[in-house]
Amino acid sequence: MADTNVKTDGRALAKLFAGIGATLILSCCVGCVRVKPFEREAHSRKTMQERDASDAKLEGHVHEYREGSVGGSGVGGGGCGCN
Amino acid sequence: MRLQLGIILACLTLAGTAASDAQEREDGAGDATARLLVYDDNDATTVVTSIADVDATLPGAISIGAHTVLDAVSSASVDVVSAATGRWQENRVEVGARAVVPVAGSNLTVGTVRSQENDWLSHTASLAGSRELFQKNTVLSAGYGFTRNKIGRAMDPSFERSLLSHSAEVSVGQLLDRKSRGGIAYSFQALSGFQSSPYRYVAASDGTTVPERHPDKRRRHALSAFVLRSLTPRASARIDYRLYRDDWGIASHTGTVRFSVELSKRVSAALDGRLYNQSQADFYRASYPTSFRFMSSDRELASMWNVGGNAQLGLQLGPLKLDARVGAIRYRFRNFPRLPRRVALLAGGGAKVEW
Repeated sequence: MADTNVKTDGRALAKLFAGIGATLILSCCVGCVRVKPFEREAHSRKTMQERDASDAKLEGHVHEYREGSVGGSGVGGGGCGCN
Repeated sequence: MRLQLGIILACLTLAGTAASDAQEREDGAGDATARLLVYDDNDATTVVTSIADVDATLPGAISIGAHTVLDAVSSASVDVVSAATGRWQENRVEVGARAVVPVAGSNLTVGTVRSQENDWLSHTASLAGSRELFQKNTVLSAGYGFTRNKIGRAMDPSFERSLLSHSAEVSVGQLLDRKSRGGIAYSFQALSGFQSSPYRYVAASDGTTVPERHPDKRRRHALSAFVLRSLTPRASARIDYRLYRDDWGIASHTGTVRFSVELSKRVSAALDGRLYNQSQADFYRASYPTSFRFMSSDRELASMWNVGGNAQLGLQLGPLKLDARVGAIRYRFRNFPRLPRRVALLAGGGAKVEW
């Protein structure tokens, strides 16, 4: 039987992800109404705060060694604007 | 073992969080956290992970932090049986330091991490930055990290391999309306070097047995997004999704839902659920008829899915925050005959004090 080769479709993959990412960024930045500082009461509530970093690190730690995927966890930071 | 591979992306994540925290603190403020998590599965593997982390803000809004992680692993899984060894135990010790420096309206984070096991040593350096825009409606973050790994094999001093990793991540967080915010992130990792297990062998149907052979190069892409919304003054919901692809042929989808509730001024609770599904690597086979160029018996490269959930309870006593959690994960390996299913239980807790 012929040997198995690894597919090298990295470029097409990168273009796909770049396209999706650019679309999402543009729709996020352009399409959203600006929220003024005095309108951010809900964002400053306890349940809207980011998960503790060490807790999130442990959660990621459980999965990253038992699955074939990593990454994408950095999305949690920022965006509150309530400080 | 390969406990270090995720460190670099975790560093970039922590760097972003550290920068965000640093913006909010006054001089002299800080926090210290201790946390423990026990993982135990029916594949005879137990991992006890403990974390200690401390942060302090210095004059000039410079923030410094340090952390240490200890993994104590005990296993007699089917991997070990196939390698004809008994139960093994080992520890991994990770130490790291970081500094967040405000520069021209942005926060720059530099960090370093060292991780050591009996058969693996790694060093990571990372640089990340974040900037708030549009009256703090938007936060842009970007980071880069480099890790050098030195891989050995227990009781075999002649075995030495290396693995280099470059990682990058960009993310944007955005207020969506008065009650919602969201964000997206893209992360990329390029690995070059030894990526097989130094202990695993693969047996072909024709009777040949060879050491596991994975490709030396791997490029990994992850695109993720989240939306967090305040449902009531005391409750919120968050939905996360991640799309992952790599050039080994693995594609995965990860979805997470988390509900947080403030039960009283001091007590809070959270419930979360997670669903994960992945396809197999191109070169992975449940059985090989003969010796191939690339051969693997790594179940993490097989087609699999898992579903899990956690319940968490938090208590705040002045500057002290306590929390405890229990959880479970059910794994299903579609084409790994030696272990078609696995169930894991999780339990842990933490304490954090702020000043």
